[in-house]
Amino acid sequence: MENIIEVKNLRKTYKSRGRTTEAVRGISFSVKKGEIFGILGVNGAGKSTTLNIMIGLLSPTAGSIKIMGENFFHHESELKDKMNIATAYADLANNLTVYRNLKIYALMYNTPNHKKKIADLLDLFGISHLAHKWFGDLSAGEKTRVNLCKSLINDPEILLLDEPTASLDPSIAAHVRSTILDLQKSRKMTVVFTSHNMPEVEQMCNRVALLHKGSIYRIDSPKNLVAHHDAPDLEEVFIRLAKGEFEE
Amino acid sequence: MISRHRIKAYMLRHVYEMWATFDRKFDIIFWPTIDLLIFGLLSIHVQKLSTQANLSGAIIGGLILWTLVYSVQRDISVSLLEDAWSRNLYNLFSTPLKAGEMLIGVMLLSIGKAIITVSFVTLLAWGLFGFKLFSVGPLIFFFIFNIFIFGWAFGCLTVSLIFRFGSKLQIFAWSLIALLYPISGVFYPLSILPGPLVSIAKILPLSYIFEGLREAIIIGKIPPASDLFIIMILNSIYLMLGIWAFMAGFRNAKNRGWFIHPS
Repeated sequence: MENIIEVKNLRKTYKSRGRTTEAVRGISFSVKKGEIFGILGVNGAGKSTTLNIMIGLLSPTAGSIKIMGENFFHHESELKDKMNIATAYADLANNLTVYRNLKIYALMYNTPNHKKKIADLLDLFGISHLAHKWFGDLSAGEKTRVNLCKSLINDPEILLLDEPTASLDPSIAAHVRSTILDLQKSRKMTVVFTSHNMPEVEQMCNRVALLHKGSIYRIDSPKNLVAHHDAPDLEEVFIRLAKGEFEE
Repeated sequence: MISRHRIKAYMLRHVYEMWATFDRKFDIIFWPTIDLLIFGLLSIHVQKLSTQANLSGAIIGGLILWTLVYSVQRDISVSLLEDAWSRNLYNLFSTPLKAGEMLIGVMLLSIGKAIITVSFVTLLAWGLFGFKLFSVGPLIFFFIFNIFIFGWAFGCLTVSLIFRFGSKLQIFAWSLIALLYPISGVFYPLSILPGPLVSIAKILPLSYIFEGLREAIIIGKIPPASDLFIIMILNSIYLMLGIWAFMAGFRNAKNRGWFIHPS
């Protein structure tokens, strides 16, 4: 299968008040078309920084990203037309209704028949009743689901999800997971995924990159990672990674 | 390639915001009305004390065009801040929207909002004080066009500072332009300014615009072609500088991750 994403030697350094922080330290990985690729690590490991660079919200200090064979930084706008992101850490416009927010993003991506698309997506995530409510009045879980609708408004070929189920109750989180899995299968959508929920990662991801202090420790399938570390499950691998047991 | 649908989407987002929020509507109508009432009444009082014909009209005309300067430059930066306040920049700039498309969008929006404000205030000035802004003739359209150019340039410079130093400078969106208020000759001739301030005023297209407007209203004199030429040259320089600063600020914001954490 062809690589749809190729990240090489990606590095991000922040300089603030004379202090230098290396958020990402020269990581490389590739993602195959139709794959669900997880990026795991503790807070501050560089997961969100990596996703933010991949969607053009942040400039890298060094390194390259190829999306669908094209240099992302040279064709950013064209490639972002085929991508989208959902994060638990950003909002839509608070003073607008859910419908109007989604309409703006539908226009941004030139989505055909946006009324039907918005209605379908709201229905898919079980939030049709929120269409005419102010976004700012929604609960965290409702906002998360609206954000997921936003992330699918352009039928992306590549979907980046930054802790997409972080504020959802277990039953809704399960529904969201199965919805994403269904969409990924039916559309051959590629998903890059970060999460702190290990059973979720084991259920969803074909391969996982373990990120620690801005570097990739290992990339493998969840099953192989568990077997390689002689652990009962991925959660145990994650805990040992967080404790720094794999540091050389 | 600049995309019309993305510009339209960006503009629609702010049109919705304007209709949805009371303070945006307030900005467009309330303060310009208060200013007009205060300065309009003051101008009538000053006119009674003066032998100079139509001094009152010059003050009201100056106020209306200053309202235009203020609202055009403010709209450029407030549009960006609205997205920062609602933590919406993340989603907005994860779309294919380009910095240039955003800039075109805010410029077009500022035209719409300024037309509403100036039309309202102009009608009010006519109704309350009998002042007709357009009696100046076609020259007024030249002044208005150039005020838009300067307002955009100044708004871009303000936004570049917000991009560079963050939302802690958001007060600049409303206040930075005030530095030019006393030295642009809005209500009085530049000749009364202290020497060093005259030198600064001479590099501002606004000072030529307001001097020209005053002379046109008071003595019906059209400014010399050289002054009109200076206005265009200075505005071209400021606009290029403003766009350059905006784009440099945008790159800086992206490098610092300001769209992710707009603080």
